[in-house]
Amino acid sequence: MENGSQKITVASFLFHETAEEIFANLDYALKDGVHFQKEGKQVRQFNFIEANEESLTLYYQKFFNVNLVRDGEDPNAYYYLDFYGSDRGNISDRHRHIMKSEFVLIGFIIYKIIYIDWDIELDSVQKLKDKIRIDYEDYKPGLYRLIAKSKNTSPSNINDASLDNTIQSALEEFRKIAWISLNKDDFSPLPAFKRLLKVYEEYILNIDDTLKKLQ
Amino acid sequence: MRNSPQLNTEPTDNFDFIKTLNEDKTYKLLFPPKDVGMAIIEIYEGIKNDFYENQKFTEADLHDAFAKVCRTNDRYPKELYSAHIMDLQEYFLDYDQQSQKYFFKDYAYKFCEHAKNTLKGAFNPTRIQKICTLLTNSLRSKQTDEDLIFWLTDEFNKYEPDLREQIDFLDRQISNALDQLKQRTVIEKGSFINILITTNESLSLSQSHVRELRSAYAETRMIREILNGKNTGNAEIGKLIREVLFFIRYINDRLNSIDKKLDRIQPKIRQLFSSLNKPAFNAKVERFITYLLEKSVIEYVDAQKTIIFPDGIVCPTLRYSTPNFTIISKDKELFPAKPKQRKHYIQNNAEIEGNRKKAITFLKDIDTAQKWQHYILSEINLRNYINLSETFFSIARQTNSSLAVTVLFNTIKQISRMPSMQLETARELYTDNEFKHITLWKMEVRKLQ
Repeated sequence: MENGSQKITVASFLFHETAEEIFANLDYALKDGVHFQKEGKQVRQFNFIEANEESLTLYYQKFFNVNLVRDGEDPNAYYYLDFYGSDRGNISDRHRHIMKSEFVLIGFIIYKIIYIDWDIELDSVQKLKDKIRIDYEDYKPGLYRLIAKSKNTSPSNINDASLDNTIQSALEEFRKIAWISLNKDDFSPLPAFKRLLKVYEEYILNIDDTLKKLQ
Repeated sequence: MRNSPQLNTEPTDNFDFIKTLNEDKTYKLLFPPKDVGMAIIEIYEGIKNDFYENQKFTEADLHDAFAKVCRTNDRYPKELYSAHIMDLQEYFLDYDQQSQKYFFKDYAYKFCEHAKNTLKGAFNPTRIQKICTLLTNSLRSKQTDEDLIFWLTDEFNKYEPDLREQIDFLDRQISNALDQLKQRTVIEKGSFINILITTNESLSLSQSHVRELRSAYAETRMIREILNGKNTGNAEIGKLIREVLFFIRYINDRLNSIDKKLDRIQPKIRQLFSSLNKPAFNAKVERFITYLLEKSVIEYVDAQKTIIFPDGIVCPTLRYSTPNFTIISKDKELFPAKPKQRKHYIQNNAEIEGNRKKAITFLKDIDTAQKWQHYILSEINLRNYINLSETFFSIARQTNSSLAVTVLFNTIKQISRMPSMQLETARELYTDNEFKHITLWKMEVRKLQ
């Protein structure tokens, strides 16, 4: 909190009382794509970012040309480094990881199940796999074609195994960036999971125009 | 019944439940069809509301009850009702010939009460606590194997359904709350919020119920400890104890899993609040998913089949690999540490010699003292007598007075432990001209014959 007498600078966060303890790991994690929210073990880091938001934003802007973004409404707010859209950032191509299209698709289907269809009891990876295979018939031909990369779009062992494996890998990727918590068979989306929607917001809002053009 | 442990109360007989239930009309008589069952429930509620005197009712009352719930085309289906009543007399009804009235058999009460309690699901942790305390106290008082078996089979068994029922109730409370969410049909923002608020409130209530129930069940820990302490060699008791312990663990496991479930669901409900005002947006998300699934294509990129989204849509860059540090390490073998100069310590020979002499003198004194002690004992054995005071001065003359004190002290100690020797001390002073500063009592040792 600024009291007006001290100007916040790019280096202010370095003098925060917990900076020595928190900043180095936090910096690595943010650059690793980890999102931070007020959940579980992330609370202290979240509080650190929140307390030094202005200074840290200046720091990442000035030295790395990436945005430190706060999104989501309290208590579901989360922070992340936004590289998207600022492709002239100072982080070279070989250090960037682009999320696989497969994972984006799985992410959207998880969003549909939990946030649109309100299946909030779903917390088992196995049940999620079963659900996508059994309850979401309409999506299946597309999933088999794109994820199993199979010309055969009817259910088969190979297609199902491939779908299951991709769901598993997607969940593990989401865990790494703290979109979900994942512990063996247990999984639960975290507030930052909504970032997926944020990334594609523009396309989603204009989907009706896009579809009209196709007709 | 859920897949929960059941205590087997009749471990020895060969009762075949399934076979017996399958015989003739037994099943139908125990579980009557809906019309008949509902009539019984009508009567049960009448009994509970003191509608019938002495809990007894007439045939006409039964007919009224049937008329209320049965759908039949007969104007007055007396025959049908009579047939029902006859069936019910097997397990549900009894007839008092004197008053010409019917009354409920025990099975009828249990049948109705069980259904009512299951549906009503009154949450009552205080009762659970009382049951647990009652069971613990009665278990404590059981001394004999016979009493213990009675507790394990009858007493515990009697309350087992009550203990389990509360958890079932909690589970159902949560499911009901969540069903409301799933069954929403009205797509109006206002009602969405109301449903969410109600769900959230009832889940918070469930959470506090879990806490209350957990403390109510705390006494089961005592039951577990007492049972663990019962180390009986009886195989039957062992089996029954294991079943009770299993049941206690089952209760705790279920409470834990309900707790965990609530912990997971509540944050999601919180998140749902924020997506409330976006039904139109969500509809667009659904269309976007379909669009991606239908219009994406598979292309070879770097010889790998890759999904290409339509319309130039790209995947987000979400993760950057952080740099690996290059650590320059120094090989210890190639770059050995510089040898340190060894420090030499000069020995003080005079000091060493002095200490050595002191040690030798000390050892020699011990040796001399032992020799004198040996001499004194041999002297007593030989002459049956020795004048210790005189010997003291003769030792002192030949060695020194402090050694003589040591010898005298050790000898007296030794003699006092030997029943065949007797130390006599006279009230008479013994002195020696050479040692004027030393005065002794006159001490003599005699060997007893």
